[in-house]
Amino acid sequence: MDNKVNAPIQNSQYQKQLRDKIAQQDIYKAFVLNANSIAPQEHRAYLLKSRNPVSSFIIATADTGKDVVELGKALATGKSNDNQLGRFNDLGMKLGSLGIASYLFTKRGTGTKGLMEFIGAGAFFASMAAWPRLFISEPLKLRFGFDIRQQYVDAQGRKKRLFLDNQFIPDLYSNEEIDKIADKMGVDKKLPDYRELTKEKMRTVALQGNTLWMLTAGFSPLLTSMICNLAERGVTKYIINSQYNKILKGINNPTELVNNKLKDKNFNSVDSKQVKQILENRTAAPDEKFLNEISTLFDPFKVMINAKDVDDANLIAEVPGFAPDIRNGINQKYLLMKNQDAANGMLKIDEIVPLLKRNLGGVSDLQGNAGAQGLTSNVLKELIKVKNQADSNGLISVKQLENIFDSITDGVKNPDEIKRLKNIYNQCVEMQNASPETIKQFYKDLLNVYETQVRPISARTSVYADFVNGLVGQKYESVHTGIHMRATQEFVKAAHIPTKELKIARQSAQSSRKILEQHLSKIAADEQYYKIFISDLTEQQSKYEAATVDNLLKQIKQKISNDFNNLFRNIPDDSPLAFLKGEIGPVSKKRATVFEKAIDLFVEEKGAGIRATGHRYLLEADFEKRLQSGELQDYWKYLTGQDKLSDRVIKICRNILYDSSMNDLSNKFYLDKNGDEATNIIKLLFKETDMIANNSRPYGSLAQATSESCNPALLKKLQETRENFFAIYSQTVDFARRGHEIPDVKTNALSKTQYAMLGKAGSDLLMETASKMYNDRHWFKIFGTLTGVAIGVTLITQLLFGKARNEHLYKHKKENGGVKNASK
Amino acid sequence: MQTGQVKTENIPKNAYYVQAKPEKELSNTSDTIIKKTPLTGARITLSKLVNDVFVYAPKGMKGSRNSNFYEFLSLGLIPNIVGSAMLIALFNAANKGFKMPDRAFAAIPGRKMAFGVVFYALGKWLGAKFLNKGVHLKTGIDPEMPYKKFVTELPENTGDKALTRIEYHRVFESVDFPRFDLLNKMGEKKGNRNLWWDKIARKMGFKDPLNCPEQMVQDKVREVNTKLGAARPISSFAWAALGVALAAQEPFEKKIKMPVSGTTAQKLQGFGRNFATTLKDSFLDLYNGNNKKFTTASKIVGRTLIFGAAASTILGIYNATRGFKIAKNQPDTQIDLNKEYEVQ
Repeated sequence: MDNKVNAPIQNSQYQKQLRDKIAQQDIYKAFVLNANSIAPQEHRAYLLKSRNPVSSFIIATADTGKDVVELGKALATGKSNDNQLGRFNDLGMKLGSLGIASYLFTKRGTGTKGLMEFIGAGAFFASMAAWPRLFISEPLKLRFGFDIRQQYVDAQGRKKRLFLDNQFIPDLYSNEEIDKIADKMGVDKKLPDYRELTKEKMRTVALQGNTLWMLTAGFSPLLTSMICNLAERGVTKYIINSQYNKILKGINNPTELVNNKLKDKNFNSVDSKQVKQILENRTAAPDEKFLNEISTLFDPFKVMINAKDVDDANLIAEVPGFAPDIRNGINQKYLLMKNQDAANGMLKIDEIVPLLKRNLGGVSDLQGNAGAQGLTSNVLKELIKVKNQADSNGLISVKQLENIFDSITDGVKNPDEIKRLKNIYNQCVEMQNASPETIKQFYKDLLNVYETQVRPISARTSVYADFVNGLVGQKYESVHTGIHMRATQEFVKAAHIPTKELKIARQSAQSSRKILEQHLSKIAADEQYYKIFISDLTEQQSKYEAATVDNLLKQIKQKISNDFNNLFRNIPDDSPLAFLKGEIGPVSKKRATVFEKAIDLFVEEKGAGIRATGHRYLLEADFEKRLQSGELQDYWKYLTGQDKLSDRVIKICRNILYDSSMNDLSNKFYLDKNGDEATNIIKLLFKETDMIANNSRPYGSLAQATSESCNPALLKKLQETRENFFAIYSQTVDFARRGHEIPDVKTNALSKTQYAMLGKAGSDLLMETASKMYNDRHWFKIFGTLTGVAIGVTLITQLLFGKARNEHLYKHKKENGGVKNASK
Repeated sequence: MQTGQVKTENIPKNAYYVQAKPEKELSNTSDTIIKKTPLTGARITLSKLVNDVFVYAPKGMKGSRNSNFYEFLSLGLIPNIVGSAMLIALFNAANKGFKMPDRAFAAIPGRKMAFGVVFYALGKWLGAKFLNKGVHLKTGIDPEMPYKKFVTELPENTGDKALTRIEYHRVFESVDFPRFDLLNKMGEKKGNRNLWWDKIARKMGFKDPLNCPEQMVQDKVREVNTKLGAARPISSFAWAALGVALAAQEPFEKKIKMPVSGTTAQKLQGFGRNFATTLKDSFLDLYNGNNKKFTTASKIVGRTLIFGAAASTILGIYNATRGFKIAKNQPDTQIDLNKEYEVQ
């Protein structure tokens, strides 16, 4: 277009002539010339170039900021425009979603869940934005060479989408760009109006794409859920890993964590408040009630009992606390302070006299003659003398009493008697209450002890408790639970149990056992596969045990011992907690602290459970292997002399291996009533003998394939587990009921640990795992398919795009100014 | 109030408007404001939905020239409905295949999601509704006033005949181009072109009818409309967020029971009562914080959501209508607004 307004003014002939005519004052000519020179201004709108994701994100954020400012302006002045109001809608949606995600984040629950609220909101927006781009505009761009979501900036500087309104599409592409698009679209460039045709086709494609977007955008939550599904696995893994690393880091430098805890106002806040309240308000001398109350609060290991996990709290609560020792310490401290105070105090003679009368009788004299009635009377005489002279109130100073006692003690040579006199003197002094100042000071000191000694130990205890809890606690995201869940799922994968069978296995323990049995015996039948299976499984199990039980738990234990020794060493001698100095030393040598005992129990019980559960799967596989290789047959013959291992016995064996649980009475009932056979079965399953069998291996040992392919680190532990099982099953008493102890029966572990030592029954575990895995797969089957279909339909529909309905109109050369059939 | 016929002598001779007779129908195919009944909104939405499926979507997919922005916006109903259904389905559809304890556990978030989706939509609708209603009551301007628009299409095929189509718009949907002309037309039908403007002027505080109220009122109406338009999406989503937070509360984990016995009416009544109780409990939980399910911080965020939604409505109405009543604070003017002036 001939743009006369923006043409260089100096060289414009119009301008030159115009100036001339104006100079000549030829107004008419000047007017005509001026009129000719005026033409429309060129538009100032331009297309936005596509940017990389990072800068477009930054610009989008900046735009959102601008929107906020514009919103403020619009609300204040009432001036805005439709385009801007449309943008406020997006702003509102963002704010609303942030509000929702923030609120749901405050939900109690696991870190994963909390994080997923935000990931979910983010994924929702991401997929809303991604759906039309990924599945509509990008494929169309590849095919036709232009973006139907192309943005432009209008003359007012507002960003808009070029093809949003089908009936108002600014003509902003340059001819070169249109030519390129025409090539892509296959428009015949020989046509006279091929550019117009191209634009028409672009309009058609954009409209079709936008309509398709509206029709399919409702499916974008599917994409969201797929993103979240993938993200959740990552998040869980990330949280567990970071938990593991956090513990690992924390163990090496717990001091920082302890200090943070001490600074944290919420740490042990209930107890702290109570202690403060008691100590700051109290003016009376300490009495029984006070001592009992305060000594419980002062127990630095009490924080363990506040553990979140009910089971663990119970475990710890059973270990006796230190309250009696602390009570004693506090009492001693009070007496000490009172006695020091009493050195300047006064005593009531009327109160002392009965005490002396009661106690002084029988003090022997110089010659050792007992019953020196005179001595008592001497003391009394002295007292009365003093009383008469000194004070009309019947008071005597402690100094005076001391003098009297000194004079009496001078005449006594027997050291026992001297001790006794000293004792009586002390008793006299104790009858006087401490002065209010002393009592105040005592409580102040006590508060100081709480702040400087009790709380640091508490904080440290709590930090370690957090470690242990995070590692093997029962909470959902402990390292233990996380690894355990993954391990069981990988077992299912390693055993190649298909979804179809998972569906059956999840129904009941019986059906899951049947499937487990089938798969294990199938695996056992294939020597090569069996070896790979065992070596994979044992490798994983040993890694798992090493990571949790052996490595970290032991480190924690060791660290605790050193740390607490140091802490105890620094306790001042006059502190009520000074008795803890007696606890310094290696764990085995000293009376275990509550905490260490708790940790011991923890490690023992959790460790046993973790091991046994994993080992049971291995032993089940090994059983099937030995059954098939005939080793069991031989052993049975060796044990009982019977030729054949009957199906009944095999069934019992399987019952024990696959099904027996801690409270499973049917197995025990059988074992109780069947004397020798029961013993033999237990031996058959778990006991290795010294006798060498035909295959030159000892009777009852693990199958050759098992011990060959088993991870060496795990082999020994597997043997230990077998021994444990043997020991537990050999008892004919109700061995594994929780908390059930029978005094005369010697067992190899605490009943509680035995309970854990049996591990979880393989059938139960498979049932739970199968249920979870099946649910996941079932869900994915439905929605994964749906997502695929939605995407597929969206993509295939686009094949029909790009045909202009009125294409034929462009194929005729325009004559008569484009008016068709004008001559007819 | 001036109703019915306007006396010709009251109108200045050279005024641009001289029509005095009420006109029943200007034309069958010119845009007209339609009367609003409680169901008008629902009817319009339904008509849009039907057209979406049978007219707008096919037209769009064919690439018709006549597809316009209104049709594109109307099509927005479809992703809202499909998306909501999809969200509910994602949390519920697979649960049937789960076995019993799992199914019960999976039903809890499923139920919450369903209520969340419904409450989100309800909250969004309510938030806008409150603002519109409040502004309507205070200013007399009904932001939802609907009109019927006749659109003439280009023929696309030979022999195309019925080329007019009806769209449903709102008079004030655009802040740039509100359809003031239709308001005039509405008055003209009753013989008073300024009928609507007079009403608003009265609301603004002018006691007597103005000579040219449109001139006085129009800018204020624009201002109210823009402020309302800016506040509406914010308030809308604040209420939507509140709705979701309510659905996330513990009471909604349980199934809302319908009484087993009684007539259908009684059953529905019982269900309504149970639902109201659940809603009330949820609200209290949100307000007071629920220590079992949420952390203590939730109390703060929960109250922020409640008060935020309420404040967005109250402040939104206040802001949109502030300075609307101008008559009281009018500075003294030389021009007598009630006097008729003639421009020579």
